[in-house]
Amino acid sequence: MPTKRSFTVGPKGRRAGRARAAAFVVWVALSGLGGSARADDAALADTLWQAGRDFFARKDYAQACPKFEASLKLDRQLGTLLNLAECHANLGKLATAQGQWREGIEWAKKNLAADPLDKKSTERLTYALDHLKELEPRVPKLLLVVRNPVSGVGVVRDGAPVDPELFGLPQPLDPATYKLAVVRGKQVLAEHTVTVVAGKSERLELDVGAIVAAAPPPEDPDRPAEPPSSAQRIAGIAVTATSGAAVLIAGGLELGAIVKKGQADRDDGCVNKFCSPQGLDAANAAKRFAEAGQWLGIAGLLGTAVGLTVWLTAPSSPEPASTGRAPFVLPWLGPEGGGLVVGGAM
Amino acid sequence: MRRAAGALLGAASAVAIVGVASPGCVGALSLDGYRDAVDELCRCDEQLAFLADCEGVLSARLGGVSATTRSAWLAFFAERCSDDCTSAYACYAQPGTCSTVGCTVAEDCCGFATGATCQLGECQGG
Repeated sequence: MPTKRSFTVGPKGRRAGRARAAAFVVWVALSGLGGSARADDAALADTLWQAGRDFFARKDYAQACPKFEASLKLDRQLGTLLNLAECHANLGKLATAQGQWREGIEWAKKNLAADPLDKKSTERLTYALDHLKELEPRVPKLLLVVRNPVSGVGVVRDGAPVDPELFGLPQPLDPATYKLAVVRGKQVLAEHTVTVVAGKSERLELDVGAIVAAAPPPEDPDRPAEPPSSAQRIAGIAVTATSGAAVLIAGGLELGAIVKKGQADRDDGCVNKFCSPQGLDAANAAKRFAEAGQWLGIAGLLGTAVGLTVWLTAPSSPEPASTGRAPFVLPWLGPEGGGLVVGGAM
Repeated sequence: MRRAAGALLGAASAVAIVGVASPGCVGALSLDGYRDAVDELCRCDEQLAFLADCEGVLSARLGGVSATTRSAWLAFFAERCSDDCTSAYACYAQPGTCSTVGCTVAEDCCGFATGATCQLGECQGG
């Protein structure tokens, strides 16, 4: 009963072309032919297969193929595999289809080895062989010839490494444009774009020795780019220097505040904090200077502490950095007194 | 060891800095609480009602006198008029704020209490 996932075959004795024309007329049940699957997976696979079949019937292969593929992933069935092969062939993915027809042929042969009287497998084997025979002349191939290979230098096709064993052998490919690159590690030494079309073979010759000779010298993986300790030390010194400058400016503002306060506290400025207009102006200016100096000073001192911490916690580098290790004393001055920040290697 | 010591030093420095600096420079310099003596005096508007623009007039007069006169006026104000308005007119009548030239009313003039008068916009006598 043609209800379960099935695979289209033409009536026996007809030519393959007519068989394809009658595709999806006869759907042979496949239950029991593939590997086992969980019941819910099988049901889902069946739904996907049905959807794929509907798209296929409407010749919407771009939609049909992923459905067959998803169904196959959930529940491997020979019929679904052959459906997928035919779908890919119609979609133009000729090398992909070729591989799937071949896989289907091997599968059917295995079934027949187990049961030589298995009629369905016989029909499918014939069907797959016919399609493969018809397809093979159309599958484009790329012959990659690599001359003067160099150790550590490889070829990638669209980012994926090409097995050196394939060099010199025609590789079946789906019709498309491919980017081939000669690479050394992550370094791209040369790039080529190759477009392959159905029924035509391309040849690309790469003289790897010459490409390597023309390329810039290799990056030494053992050479440390920039010691992280150095970057951290530089950052620490920069922060310390900037913050130290802020502290000095803050000190200047505090000195300004002290001078202005002196003007306010002169006898003709303020007496017991009761001020003449001139005295009040000086007192207000002193307050503004003191506030600005206070916040700038706090920020600067905190920044200095952060900078020193970053500087002192920088990992040791192979080269001695005397500035980063020598003990130091940093004086600071504020309105309430002064202090020293002491640091250095312990 | 060295990194841990550095981190400890940095943290200790930050705490020390914040601890020392947080009381504030404004407080440390004792910069709060300064007041305008003229503004304080002009709050006594009952006693100085004859002054149409008390703050404007007195600020201009006090700002225009010598440092010695201003210093003496401030000392007198701080001693007599900083707490209440009882002596407001006495403070006003000190050299520095009262007028020796132009006037609109007799009370404008220095020495009004001792007989000075305002005649044709000028202080006379006293």
